[in-house]
Amino acid sequence: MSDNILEMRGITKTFPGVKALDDVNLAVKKGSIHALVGENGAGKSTLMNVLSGLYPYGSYSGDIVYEGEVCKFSKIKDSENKGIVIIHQELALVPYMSIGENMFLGNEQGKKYAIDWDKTHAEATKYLKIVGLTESSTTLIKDIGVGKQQMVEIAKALAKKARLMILDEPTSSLNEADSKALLDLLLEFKKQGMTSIIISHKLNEVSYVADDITIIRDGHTIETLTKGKDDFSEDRIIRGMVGRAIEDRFPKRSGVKIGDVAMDVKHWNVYHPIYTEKKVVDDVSFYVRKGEVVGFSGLMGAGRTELAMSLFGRSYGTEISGTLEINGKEVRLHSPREAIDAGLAYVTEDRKGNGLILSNPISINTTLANLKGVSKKGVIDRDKELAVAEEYRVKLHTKTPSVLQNVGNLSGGNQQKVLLAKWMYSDPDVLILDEPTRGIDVGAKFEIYCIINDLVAEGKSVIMISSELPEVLGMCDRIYVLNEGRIVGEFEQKEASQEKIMASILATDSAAKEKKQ
Amino acid sequence: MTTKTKVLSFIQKYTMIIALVLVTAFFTWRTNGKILMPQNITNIISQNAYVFILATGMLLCILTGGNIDLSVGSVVCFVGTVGAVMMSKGMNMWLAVLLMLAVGLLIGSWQAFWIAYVKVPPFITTLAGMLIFRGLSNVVLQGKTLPVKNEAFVRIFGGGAKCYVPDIFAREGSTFNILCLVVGILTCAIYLFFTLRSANTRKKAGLETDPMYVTLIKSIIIVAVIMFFTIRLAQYKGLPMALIWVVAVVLIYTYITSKTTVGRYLYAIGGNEVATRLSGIDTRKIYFFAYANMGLLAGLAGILTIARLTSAQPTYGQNYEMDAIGSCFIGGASAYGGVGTVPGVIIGALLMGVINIGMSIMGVDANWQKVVKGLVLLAAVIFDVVSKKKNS
Amino acid sequence: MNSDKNSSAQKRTKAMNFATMRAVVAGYLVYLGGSLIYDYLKSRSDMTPVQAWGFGLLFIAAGVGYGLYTWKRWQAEAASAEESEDSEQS
Repeated sequence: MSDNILEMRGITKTFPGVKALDDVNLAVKKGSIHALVGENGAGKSTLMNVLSGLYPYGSYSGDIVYEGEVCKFSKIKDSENKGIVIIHQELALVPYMSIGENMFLGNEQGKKYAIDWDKTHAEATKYLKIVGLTESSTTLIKDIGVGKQQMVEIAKALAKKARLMILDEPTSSLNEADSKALLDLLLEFKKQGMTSIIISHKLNEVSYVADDITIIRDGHTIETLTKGKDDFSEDRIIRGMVGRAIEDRFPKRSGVKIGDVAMDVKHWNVYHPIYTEKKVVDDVSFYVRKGEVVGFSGLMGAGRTELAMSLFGRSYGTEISGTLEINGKEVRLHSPREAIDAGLAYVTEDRKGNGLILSNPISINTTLANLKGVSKKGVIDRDKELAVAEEYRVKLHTKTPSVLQNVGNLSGGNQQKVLLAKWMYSDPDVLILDEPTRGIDVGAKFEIYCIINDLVAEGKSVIMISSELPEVLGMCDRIYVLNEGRIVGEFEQKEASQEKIMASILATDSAAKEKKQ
Repeated sequence: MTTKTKVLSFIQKYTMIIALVLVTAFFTWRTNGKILMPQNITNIISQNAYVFILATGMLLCILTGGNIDLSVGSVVCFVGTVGAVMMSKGMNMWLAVLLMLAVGLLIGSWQAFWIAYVKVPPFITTLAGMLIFRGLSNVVLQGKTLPVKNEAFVRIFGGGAKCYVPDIFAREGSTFNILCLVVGILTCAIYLFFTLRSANTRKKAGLETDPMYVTLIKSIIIVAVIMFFTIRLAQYKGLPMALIWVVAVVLIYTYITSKTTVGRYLYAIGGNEVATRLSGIDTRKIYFFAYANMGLLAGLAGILTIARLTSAQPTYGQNYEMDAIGSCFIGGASAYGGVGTVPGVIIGALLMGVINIGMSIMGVDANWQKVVKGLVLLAAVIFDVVSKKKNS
Repeated sequence: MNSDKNSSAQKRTKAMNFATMRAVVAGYLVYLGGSLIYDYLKSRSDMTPVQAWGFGLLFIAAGVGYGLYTWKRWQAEAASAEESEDSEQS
């Protein structure tokens, strides 16, 4: 057992009313990459917070054995002194400070009241080189991309003399290329003897990079899979995470009759609200039929959200032109209210920023878009409001003690359900779902898919914007591919494939490049 | 929940009420109980009527996300000036009142237009208003005092010696005001009725309810407090007119903020403005409502002010905006986002009021009043800083 | 993306609103403290010198301190609004 750098034995941590961790065991081999997977709320982050000392010794039971000795961390500094450094999901960098300043924030070089800037930047440059960044250490954080910021976080961890690095969802906001670079860097560190623990939802990355995978479910350790010994496939991991095999990650939709055209958009153009010469949506025409799920695929920044929001009562953009027909009648919408009244609903991709009022209870969020439904002459009927919220809680299986719970206290999947409930209660004909499953776990995703199926079974139309290709392919009857504001491909479900979609994006990309040259 | 966390959460929930009780107890001790004498209780209400009303209006602005209105003091002064001038020219009192409210509403709407539709920051807009309307009052009054001689006006809006609701049940030779007692008993009955009803509906909806004994103790305390105050008031001259106006405003706005869609939207904007707008709500209208309404209430406060002081002066209403903001701040509206309730703010205002009266009964000079005001604000500031620390 | 910009701009305005409110309270504390000392110097106060200066300076210090706190908190909140924008953009 001496080759284990870290062992956590029988960790139990209770919060008022909940047992977040129950007898969790974790053994991490020295010089390995250990992945921690589990659904949201399974207890991964709690476990890492126990390890880092955020929850001090005494607030949990069980032992942490690090390099052969039992540790009793009472604050984060204690664990950092031992070489355990945690890199959180939300980047903890100050945008208007330089890379160097950020790297040594709280760990300043030189004397306490006289920071040695030369030393700071010299050291910073050294570590930047290790992580493969060529930027000057005096560059401001806000001027580099998220991928590079993540690298700076890692360099910062190295500067703290990390020997065990914990990465919480390091790639959640990165694109494919940046993610790959980051994972390769971890593999490089492994060769030099660094131990890493990585928490991730992206199972393909986990099986790519990890030597061991520990699966946590509902605060229990379920099993640990080892590379070369166990099956490392995504399906195998998912089975461990949800406790059952998901034969089909997408529920079957049967007997849904696709009817007449519900929404028809022709020659839709939108310009950027600030850079008014920039065309964000360029001559887009598409239609959605009743009972149909239509997908919008494309890269980030392809203009999908902008298209959806400009359709939804001109919530985005200027100089919008084109025609919009709903149920065969042309409508001109100037505000979200008019859009809602015309039978549209836009379920935002940014549920915390644009969708929900986190500081308010579920009941208030549920009725916000259709307060008329529970009020008479401007006076709210609280009883009716609670009944409506309760009805949707039951219908969508939202997990919460009561509908008076603040939305901010719910997990991502349940927040998404509340957001869906809000728009379902506004009784739309066409729902535009923008990244409906972003940042939520496998089980909740499946439930969201079921809700979508129920919606189209009722004869409603669903437009699904998603960056996850498997999801688009698995759920949509028809798929539009958007790139740089234009529709560059349309596929029926039968003929669509990941390769075809990517190809149509790339074709237009290279065509555009040639044009420029 | 352990006993310790229970006690802590209790203290957190009722901080301001506890503070109010402590401060009252302190002044009862220092003034040998004088502060609880009938006349002083009447004074707490009459002299602070404007704070209650302005703080209520200010709360609506703050709910929309921490926006404040700095112009209220000047608007109070200007409305008062306009009213005094109109009545000195012999205008009918009710017409004058109506016009004063209209002027308040007009000023409010003017500022609300810039804030809601042109998106000028409230701070700038209302700072300008503060200077403009103070200046206009000075111009109209030419720096002089203009007396208000209309006795009916003064009486109805809580000034002078006879500003009490006439006792319709009065008997010969008795100084005890029966009407006041009747109103008190009725208030208790209404309170109990609503408590029972809401407990019932909550139970029916399957929601968590307080245990029976908690509701009981709460009700007993509240009934006792109401009865104590009404008996005190009855022993003096009965219900002050100012109380009627304050209670009306408090009831109306408690209802608006808790039961109506407009109230809901105010909180929603404070919670997440974009989400509210994308839910099909015209947020500009809500901002407009909040600031126009502030003007209207400033108009009412202006009426009460010139009635109580039976004159208009260009210096009236100074620092009124601070009293209102301070009350909201103390009443818990300082925390981030759409929180704060009308009753909470009223308790904040009451706290300020008790301190003011307590100090003046003790006969200490104005500087000591500043000290205590400062200390209370300091406490609220510390509370603000600490509660932020706890959250993060 | 637009939506993210919206929400971060919103966070910034809100942070500024609350900062304004706090700044006003801080300013008022300074004003109270200052007027205590001013009145004492103009001998319009029946406080002892220790009381006038003591409370005066206490309030000024508290006001200034709260002002600084307000400033820092505002900066931090504005920065966090910025940050969420950056991390969600790509």
